[in-house]
Amino acid sequence: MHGESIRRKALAVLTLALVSCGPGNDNNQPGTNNTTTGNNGTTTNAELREAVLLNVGSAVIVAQQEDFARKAAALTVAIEAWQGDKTAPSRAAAQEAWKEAMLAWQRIEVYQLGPAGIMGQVAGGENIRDAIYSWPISSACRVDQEIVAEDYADAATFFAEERVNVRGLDAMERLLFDESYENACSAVSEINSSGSWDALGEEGIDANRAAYALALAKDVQTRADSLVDHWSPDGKDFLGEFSKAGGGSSTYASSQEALNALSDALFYIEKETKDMKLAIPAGVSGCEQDTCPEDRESLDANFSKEQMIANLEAFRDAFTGLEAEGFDDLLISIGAEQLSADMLKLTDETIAALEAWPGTLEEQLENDPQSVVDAYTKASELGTLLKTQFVSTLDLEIPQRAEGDND
Amino acid sequence: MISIRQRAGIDGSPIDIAWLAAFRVMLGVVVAWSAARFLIYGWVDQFFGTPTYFFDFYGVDFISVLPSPWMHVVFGALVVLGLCIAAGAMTRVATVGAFVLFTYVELIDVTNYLNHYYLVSLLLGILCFLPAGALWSVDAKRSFKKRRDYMPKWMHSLLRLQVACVYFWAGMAKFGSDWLLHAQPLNIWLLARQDTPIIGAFFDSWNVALMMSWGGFLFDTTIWAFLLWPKTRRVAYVVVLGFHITTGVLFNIGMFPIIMIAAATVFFDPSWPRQLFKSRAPSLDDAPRQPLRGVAALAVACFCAFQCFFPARHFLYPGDVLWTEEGMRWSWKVMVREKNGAITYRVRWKGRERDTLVPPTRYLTDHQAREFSGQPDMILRLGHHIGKDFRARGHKDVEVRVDAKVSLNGRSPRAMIDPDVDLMKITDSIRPASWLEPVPNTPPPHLGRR
Repeated sequence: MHGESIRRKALAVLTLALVSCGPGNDNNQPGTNNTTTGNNGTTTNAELREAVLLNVGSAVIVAQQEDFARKAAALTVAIEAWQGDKTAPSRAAAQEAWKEAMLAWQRIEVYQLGPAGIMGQVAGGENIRDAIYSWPISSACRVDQEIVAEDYADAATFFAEERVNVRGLDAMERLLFDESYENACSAVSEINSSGSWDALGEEGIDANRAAYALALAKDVQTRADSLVDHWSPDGKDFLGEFSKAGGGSSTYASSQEALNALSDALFYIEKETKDMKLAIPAGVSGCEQDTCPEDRESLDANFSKEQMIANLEAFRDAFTGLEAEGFDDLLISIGAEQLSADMLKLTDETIAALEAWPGTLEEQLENDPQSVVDAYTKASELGTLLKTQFVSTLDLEIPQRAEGDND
Repeated sequence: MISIRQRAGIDGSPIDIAWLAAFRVMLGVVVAWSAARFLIYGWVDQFFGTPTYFFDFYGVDFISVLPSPWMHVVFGALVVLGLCIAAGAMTRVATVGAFVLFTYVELIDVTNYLNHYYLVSLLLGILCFLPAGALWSVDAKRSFKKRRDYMPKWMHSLLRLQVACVYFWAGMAKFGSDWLLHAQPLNIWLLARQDTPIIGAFFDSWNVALMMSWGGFLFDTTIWAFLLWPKTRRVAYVVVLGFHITTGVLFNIGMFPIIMIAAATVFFDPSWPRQLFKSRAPSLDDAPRQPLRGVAALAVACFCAFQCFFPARHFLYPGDVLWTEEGMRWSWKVMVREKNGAITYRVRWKGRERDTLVPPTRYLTDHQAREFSGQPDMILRLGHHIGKDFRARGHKDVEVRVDAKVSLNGRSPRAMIDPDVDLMKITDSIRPASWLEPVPNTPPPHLGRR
């Protein structure tokens, strides 16, 4: 009798343990009494995750890629006009077109997942980003050397063989905005020691800059179209891979993996925007002087402030999903409303801190360096939430190239 | 009435050695496969080749990484040694070699510490002293003298105690309000796994997480007893299979489920492999008694006491071990916390009026930065390293402070280390750390459907 009782108790405990392995009970049909509300009405939580991926993929990432492709095309037209007449107004128009394109690109900078990402490091990576914008490995001297070499004249060979730091929007920035006739190379550089730079003369330098810029603009336009094609459902449909994660996607085994890829991409505002674009010029990190303005992102166009704001706005767009499902809905659906609100508030406050600067980053560093430190501090608060409670609550991994086991 | 001495086999009573042969094969395969995964996935380069700084373990800071390509050679050797153990070829040498190399690899960098690697080291260490190659082995085939069908029962008891300690202390690690009252961090982890076929649909419920938290706690704390008891052993092992397969499918825990499924076989009857393959158990009538006595008895007693009590050392420290991490390692605290930190060092030196901020990624790989961000002793060590680096660059009177904001089990991030303390003035020790901030007094969130 006593043995029977012990046996029953033991079985009860074991049954509880077995049940605890997962409610894999045929009577429990998925979706029953399991609802949360997203922007598009009532859905299950699993459906909401799919909706977030589809909405952020289509309404945010693809939409902004298409916007960039349009602006890249407009940039080509503007530079063609400049190359045609070499006038100052044409050059100014080309500079404006570059700024428009760069603002659009700085949003896509934050979405380096899938084809835009680095092959071998990012799932589905095709290295498209580096070909469009190679910062922080941009090299002013290398661009100046190419002005002399004129290798860009044979575009097919040039873009097949040259490294990414002599092409893209960053190289174009130097060509469009550097109006001096000095070069960025040292005296011992071949273009100076041989006299080939001086031999071009001012007209030659201008002509080559315009021709080189046009070659780059056409390449950027091609890459922008390619990026759109990679994501488009009518093209290679990476959007399908992304939004159907865990349900037929060969790139992402689960919706969690795809959300993690998006989260990894959004860490751009922590690693690049905060730690590189703000902290180093502000002198708070990686700079042994009081400030390091020469380390700012946009050296020739002085467009760093606007570029950082675009990064943060892109982060906000992906976080909110604009008018539909985003990370905020996901957080709200599981009861983390406060975290969602805090992150949005800090994003807006960081953007506001940057927008409050009356001048460019260079001018702020000169006149009011504390305002740059203040913007960094706000960005740090956002970064702290992103790296801690946000990834914890959604069980996301912070970006790391090396995956290992766990316990 | 059977005494504990007899029950544990300390009197030297013999048992069938078949279980040990099976255990040896399984452990050898686990060692070989674990090492092969490092080579196949490129982890040798990522974890040992890429980092420029390694976190030493307290007390063994003389252990350092070998230059390329020697770490690959070490892992290649582990594959070979594991296969030798499985085949029972030069078993003793292979086991000692595998124990030394496996433990060496584990002790290079704290960020690579995993409880199941520690368990493999311990099992290999114990196996060094057992007659593991005496049956179903190349050694036994080559030399009839080495072949044996029996072994002292106390050796079996020793392994059983080891595995029981793992389960029990893994269960006790869950004995806290976060796990049992708030279902964290399981609640967070399950919410992220809702597209798991069939059962994933229930993972958005906090109540399911609570039920599973209790299930996990009861499983870990009691399963060893049900495995020991012959009447419940079969059912208990089915539960073991269900538990470890489920956790293996749900979570990224690598070899852990396989190791535990293999390790739990030590609770079986010693003749279980013969029963499985329907071969006859040997007669033990003529087998000699080999009582545990003298230095061996003392060593075994010390080892057992260590395994029984060392995992409880966190009770000697103030605060929650999940926050302070004091007593966290070598204690079977397996998957009990979701912890993420945002760490920034602030360095100041003579002549510099304001702090220079140093992100840890300047010294660490992304993997290391992820692992160290919630562990105060590692944050202290990197602080010392950064301070020395700045001194080496010619700066004087270097002071290093840290902003370590950490989120534990989904709570809002809080400072884990006193931001005003100069880390250069703190010495790493096993005494309670006075430089830690108190444990957050707010409960973790309850997420998902109620």
